[in-house]
Amino acid sequence: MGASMGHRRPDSRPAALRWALAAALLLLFAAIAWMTLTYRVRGLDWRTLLSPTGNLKDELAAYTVWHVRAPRLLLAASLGAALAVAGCLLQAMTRNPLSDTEIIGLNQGAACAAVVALLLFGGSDSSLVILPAALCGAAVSGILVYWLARFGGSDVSRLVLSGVAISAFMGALTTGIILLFETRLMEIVYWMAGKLSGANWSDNRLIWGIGGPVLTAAFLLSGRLNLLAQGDEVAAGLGVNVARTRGLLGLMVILLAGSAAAVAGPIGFVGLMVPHMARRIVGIDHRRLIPASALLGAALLSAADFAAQWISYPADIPVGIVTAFLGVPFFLYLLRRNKEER
Amino acid sequence: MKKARFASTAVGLLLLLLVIALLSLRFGAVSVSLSDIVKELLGGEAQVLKYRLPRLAIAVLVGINMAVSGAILQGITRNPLAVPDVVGVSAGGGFAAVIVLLLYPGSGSLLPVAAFVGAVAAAVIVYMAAYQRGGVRPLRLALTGVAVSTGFQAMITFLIVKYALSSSQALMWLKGSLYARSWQHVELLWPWTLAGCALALLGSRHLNALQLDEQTVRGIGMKVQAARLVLLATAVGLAASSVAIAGTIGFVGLVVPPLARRLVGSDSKRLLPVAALLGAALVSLADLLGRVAHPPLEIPAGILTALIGAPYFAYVLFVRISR
Repeated sequence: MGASMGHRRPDSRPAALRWALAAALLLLFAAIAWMTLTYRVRGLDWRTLLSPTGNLKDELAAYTVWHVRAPRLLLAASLGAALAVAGCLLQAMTRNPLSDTEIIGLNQGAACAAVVALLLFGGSDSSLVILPAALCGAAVSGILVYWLARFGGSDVSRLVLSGVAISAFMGALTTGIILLFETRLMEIVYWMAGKLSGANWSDNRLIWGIGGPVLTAAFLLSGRLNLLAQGDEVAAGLGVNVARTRGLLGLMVILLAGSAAAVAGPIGFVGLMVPHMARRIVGIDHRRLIPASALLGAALLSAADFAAQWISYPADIPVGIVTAFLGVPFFLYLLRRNKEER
Repeated sequence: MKKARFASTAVGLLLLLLVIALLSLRFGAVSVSLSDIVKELLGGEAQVLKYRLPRLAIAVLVGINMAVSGAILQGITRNPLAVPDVVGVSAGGGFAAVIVLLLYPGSGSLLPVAAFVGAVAAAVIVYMAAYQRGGVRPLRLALTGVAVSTGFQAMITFLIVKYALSSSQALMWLKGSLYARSWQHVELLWPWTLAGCALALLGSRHLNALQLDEQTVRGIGMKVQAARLVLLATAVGLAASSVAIAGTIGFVGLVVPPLARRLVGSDSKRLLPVAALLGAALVSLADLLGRVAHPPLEIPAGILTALIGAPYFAYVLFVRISR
């Protein structure tokens, strides 16, 4: 078991170094944000950007920055943070280093339910329809995965493979439904691949409204997460109600994954990669790990979205594809490193 | 006793296949009564002959290919999860085929070659990535294959989004549809099926032996590596050719061979034909259901096989392997 949490070394880094690392992360994120906001916007430098909104001389530049770029950047950052923390919670909860909302099938479940809801009650105000549906879908997938994994014993590979089975099932269902209603095909294919284009402030508010409280709760629960990481018996011995904590964590993961999928479609592998990277940087203490994951996730997804926007301009490829490109090799690496398990 | 059982199973399956075949000729977006079909067949120049028969033929051939390929792979690796979809063959073949479809739309003859190359490449990648300390363990192989398949799927989606042309068609194809398949496709596919099945049957003795453990096999005096390589190439060829023609009709190779084993035991000489018949019946049934479910729209056969196959996958995973 110890092996699956990775390299469990003592937190011997001095506090100063840790703060320096945190500052470096923040700087990294700021640099990415700057790039995203200003790349290829004519007549823009830092002075015009940092001045209050109205003072931007060029109308077009102002519009581009404040109504196109900024909401998209913030959405990418918020989603990145939400997904990274979801992955972090999931990995702590299952004590499985390969867990991710995409891998265990939550995203596909959310997507499936959202597509059904879109086609049944789709209208002008579709985000209100998608959100509850996506949450329900994620919950159904989560319960199925939990049930299957318990049925098969808590083995690292089995959780992942049951997620694969559920993903395949839900994916087939989704595609089947889509193909029956072919008129809206392209829109949905695009959404299903995980996209951020056309992000607006109401998407942002949605994700803040759900993600904010959940992230705070995750941070508040981090002490308990540390205990849970020691194993069920140890945690129970130290006074943690293991079943209830796990249920709570599951609910939080479903909320995060479902709302993220509702806003931007399924975006995979952020929750897989970020917690491992963050663990390398700040160690395994969840009180530091969760904020670091949130920050790193925000940086990673914004960078991925930046790449997605410009890598094959003018085609705006879905960001889920970029994260999958990054995540698959990472997954294989984790799999090889994880020698004790199968 | 076993022979009698094999004979009765085979005859039963043949009858089943025949019934499904007749039904799928009869029903569709437009129902044609059987007497009309016979009349058309006698009169020549028939609609049914032109549209539904090649489709049925493709369904049968694809079913045979995927089922036999799955049976061989499962036999060689002694691993119930080692099937074309899981080890990445389908995704790799699909990726190569999508490249050809999107970039060189005119070249139909290039498609099978490309899909074959892609499938082989993906299989090699998966095996190399999963190989560790002198062996490939079932669950690790499955996980690696799934990851590599996800990577290929991402690239496929990328291509579809970037070259948004006819993406509906590409999606149909990816999910394994038999829509608008003609005699031309049948002609491309049947040599593969014939050669693959012949090779598999010729090698069935070796396949039986390979299911024993390594030392025993060497003790019998078999050229283990050579036999394994030939059988592996056969399996990949079968899967790749059907992916090239009909897209990724998933889970057939996973579901069918264990079912066949339950029916006639694990002797490959009997297992392979029964698996082939079952596969053919399954795919043509899936295609038939997809056509009649919601006419005039069609659900690709691959979706129906996935809806059947994914729960079965979970079952194999938990009930069969965990013991």
